[in-house]
Amino acid sequence: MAKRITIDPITRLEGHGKIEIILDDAGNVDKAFLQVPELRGFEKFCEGRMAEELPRITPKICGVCPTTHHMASGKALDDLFKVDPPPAAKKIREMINSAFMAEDHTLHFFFLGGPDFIVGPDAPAGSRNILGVIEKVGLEAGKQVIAIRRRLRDIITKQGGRVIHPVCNLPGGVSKSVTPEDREEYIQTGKDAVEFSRFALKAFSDIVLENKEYVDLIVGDIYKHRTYYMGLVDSDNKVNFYDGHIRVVDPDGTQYAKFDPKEYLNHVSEHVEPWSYIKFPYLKDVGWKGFVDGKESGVYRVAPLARLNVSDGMATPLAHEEYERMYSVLGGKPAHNTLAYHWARLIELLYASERLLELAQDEEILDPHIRNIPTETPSEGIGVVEAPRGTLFHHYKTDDNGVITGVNLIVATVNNAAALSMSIAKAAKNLIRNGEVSDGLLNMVEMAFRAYDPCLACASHSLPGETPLELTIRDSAGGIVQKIRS
Amino acid sequence: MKTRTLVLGLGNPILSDDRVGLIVARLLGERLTDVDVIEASIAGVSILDEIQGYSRLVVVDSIITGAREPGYLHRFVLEDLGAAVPAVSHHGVGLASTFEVGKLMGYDLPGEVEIYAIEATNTTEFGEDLSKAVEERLDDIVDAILKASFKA
Repeated sequence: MAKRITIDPITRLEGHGKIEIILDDAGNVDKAFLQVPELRGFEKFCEGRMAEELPRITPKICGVCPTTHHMASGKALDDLFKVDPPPAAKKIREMINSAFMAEDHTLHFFFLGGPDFIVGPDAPAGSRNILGVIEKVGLEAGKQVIAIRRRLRDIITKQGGRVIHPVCNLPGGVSKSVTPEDREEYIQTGKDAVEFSRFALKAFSDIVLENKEYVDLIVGDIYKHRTYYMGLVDSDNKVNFYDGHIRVVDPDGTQYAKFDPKEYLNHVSEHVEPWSYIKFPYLKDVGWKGFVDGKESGVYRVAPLARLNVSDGMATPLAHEEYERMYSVLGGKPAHNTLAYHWARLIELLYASERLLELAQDEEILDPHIRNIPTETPSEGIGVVEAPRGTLFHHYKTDDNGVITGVNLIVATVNNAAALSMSIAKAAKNLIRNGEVSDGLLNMVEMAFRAYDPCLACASHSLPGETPLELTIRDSAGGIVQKIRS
Repeated sequence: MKTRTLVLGLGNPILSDDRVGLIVARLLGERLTDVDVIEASIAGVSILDEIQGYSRLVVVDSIITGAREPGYLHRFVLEDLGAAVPAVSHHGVGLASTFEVGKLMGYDLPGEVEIYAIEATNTTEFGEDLSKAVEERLDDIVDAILKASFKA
C-alpha cells in the first residue's frame, strides 16, 4: 500500500500549493506531486464581455505578474482584430515588459531564491529570508534592491497608465506615447538597472560560485533533469521576452521545433493525472511517458534556464558575456541543473535592464504614432509572451462583434508542472529511505521549489501572511506518523 | 511626521469573496473623515510603497481558516503574525517580513498596525459577487471595526 507524505503550507489562505510525496511499499519515494488551488470559472467570467476588456481583466488573475498578462492580452487582441501595431507601440510595450521582468527577477532573487545561496542552504530557517540576505550583502546593497525595484515599477506606472496594473494596451497599439521628460527618467533607470544587475551577478559570483559546496549543489545530481526546453526567440535565435517564435530544443540541445506562437496547440498537449485537476503540458509528438527525463519523454521546461538553453545567446552584450560564462562553468549547453535557474535569472535580469535601456534610448520610441486602428472583423486571437516564470499563452474567440465566446489561458508555471513534480521527487528520494525521513527534507524540497519560482494560481491577495511549509507523514490508514514544519 | 491613519483594503476584485477587503475599506471610508483609504490588489513588498508616512495602519482582507462561520471578523495586530520565515512565493513574503525589511531600510512605517480579516467562503471562483453569507454581514463588520478601532 503506497504511503503519502503531504507537505501542506500552513497558511490562513485558501491553500496555496500542497506537495504530496507518495512512497512505495518499501518506504522509498515513488512520486511527488504539486497541487495548486484551482481557480474556477474564468472562461465563464469572460464570456459575453467585449474582448477589449481582457487586458484589464486578465492582469487581475495574478497580483504578481499583471504586466505580463496585460502584454499577452494586448497581443491576443492585435491578432483577434488582425491589426499590427506601429513600431513605436511595440517598443513601448517591450520597454514596459522589460522593466517588469527586471523588477520581478530582482525581487525573486533577493527575497526568494537568494536566501538559499547568499545566506546558505544549511543556515537556520529563521535567517534564510531577505533579512539574512541583507545581513550578508550589506544594508546599502539591500537599499539598492528596494530602490531599483521602485524605479522600475515607476516606469510601468508612468507608461502603463495606472498605479497597480498597466492599462495601456489596446488592439493595434497603446494609449500613451513617451514624452521626452519621461524618457530621460527611463534612460537613467535603465542605466542604474544595468549597474545593479552587474552588482547582483558579482554578488552571486563572489558568494555562490567561489563556494565549492554551493557549486557542488548546483552541478550535483539531486537537482538535475534531462528534459526538453521551450522559449521565445527573435529572428537571430536570441532570447526575447516580448515577441518572436517559440523554439524547443531536446535534452542534447538540438533544435526540435521552431514555430509561430499561433501554432502552439499543434505542438503541446495536456496530460491529466487522476489525483489532480492540474493538466501537465507535454510535447505532443514526443508523447507522454510519465514523470521521467530523457529524449523519449515529452516533458519540457520553461523560464530562465530554459530560455537560455533554447537560444543561441543573449541579444545584449553584457548579458551575453555572462551567458557564455555560465555555460563554461556548467560544462556546455543545454544546462540541466535546476539550481542554475537562479543564475540564469540574474543573466536575464541583466538582459532585461540592457534591453530597457536600449529601447528607451531608441529615437523611435518618441514617435507619436502609437496605434493602428483595427478595421477587420474579429474571430480568434492568440498572444504569447515570456513571463518571468515561463511562456504565457492567451487565446480568445469572439463573435463578429468582438464579444468573447471562449477564453483559454496557459499560464507560465503550468508548463513546468511536470518538471517541478519530478524535481521534488528527486530531492526527496535521497532523504526518505525505507520510510525513514531525514532532517533537511523540507529544506531540499523548498530549494527545488524556489528555483522554479512557481506562481501558484496567485489565487488571491488574502492577508499577506507567511507561507511556511509543513510536511505531514501519514501511514496508509491516514494517521499522522510525523510532522515537520519550517 | 504625519499622524494620519491609512485604511488599506486588500483583495482581488474578481475572485468572489476575496473582494470583501476592498468593499469594507470603501465603506469605512464613507463613514470616516480624516483617514486615507486605499483599495489595492497587492501583496508582499509592494505594500511598503503604500504605507509609508502614516502613523497608523488598518488592513482589511479576507481569510479562510475554516474555524469560523462566513462573515466572522478576525482581528490581529502585527505582532500576532510571527517572525519572517523562508518564503516560497511572492505571496509568502508577508506583512511581518515586509515590516521588518521596511524598518531595516529606515522607512517611516506606521507604529500601530491592526489587521481585520473577514472569514470568507469562496475565494477561488471568478466572479464579482460576494457570497450571500458574507454580504449579509457587511454592515455588522463595518460597525464592529468602527467601534473597535475608531470609537465611531
